[in-house]
Amino acid sequence: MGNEFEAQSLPEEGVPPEFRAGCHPAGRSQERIHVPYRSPCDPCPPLPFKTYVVPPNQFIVFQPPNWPQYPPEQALRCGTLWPALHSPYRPRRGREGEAT
Amino acid sequence: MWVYEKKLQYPVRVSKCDPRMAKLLLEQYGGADGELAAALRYLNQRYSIPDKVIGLLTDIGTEEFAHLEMIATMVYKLTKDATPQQLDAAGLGPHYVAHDSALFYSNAAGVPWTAAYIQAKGDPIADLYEDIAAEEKARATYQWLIDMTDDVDLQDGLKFLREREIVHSLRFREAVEILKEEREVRKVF
Ligand SMILES: [Fe+2]
Repeated sequence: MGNEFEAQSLPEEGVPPEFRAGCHPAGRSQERIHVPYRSPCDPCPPLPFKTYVVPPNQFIVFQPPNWPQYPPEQALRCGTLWPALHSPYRPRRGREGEAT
Repeated sequence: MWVYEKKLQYPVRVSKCDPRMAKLLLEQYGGADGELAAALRYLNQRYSIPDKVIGLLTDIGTEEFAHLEMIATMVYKLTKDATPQQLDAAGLGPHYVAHDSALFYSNAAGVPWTAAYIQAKGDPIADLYEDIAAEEKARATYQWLIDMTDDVDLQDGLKFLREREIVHSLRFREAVEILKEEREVRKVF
């Protein structure tokens, strides 16, 4: 019996590089992939995978002082003063051929 | 599908004739943070949540129906022998004219249950946070219900239900941790 927390094996082909760890300033991707159960009796062809976002707030219990900051103008555009809190969102529109 | 066991999850004893308490208990029957809302919320969200946590939502959603039965039993015991006059004195006159002594999914103020109380956002983190919040609100509701009665037997059943909310909240927070894991990461316990 495998570890229940073991990652599922995923179809590697067609998985864009943005999904792999490393695109976030803190060194981890904010997007996660899961593959919903596929039945041999499904009426439609399966999507390759689905994605969801785990924003960086999920990893911060209480923000410590003196974290690196964006320059003020960039902070105004980003919505936060701290790169570690920034969460980009890739709109699903325009991700044709990719599952959402 | 479900397998039904014709018994309660935890014995319900009500020792004090107090129809007023039936009205208050309806908050956990058909209220926003009640057991019906909880069961329907979890059993619906589970379809679009990642596979790893579907089983948890199924298990907890099922248990919420067992809790709903316990609340129903409490309300039934407190109202089945009440006269219309007694129901009226307990604030259940409006309930009586609509339902006789039948149970109905409304909250303590008589507002009928609505699906607007629950959500399925599709975003797994958002959905699980709603579930965690619902459990904590239900725990608080049980506390205030316990405060409203001096029937130690009724308090006993309510204390059991309150404790289950605490356990469920932790399980949902564990589910968030599971979904935060990166797919390549293997977690060792
Ligand atoms: Fe619960």
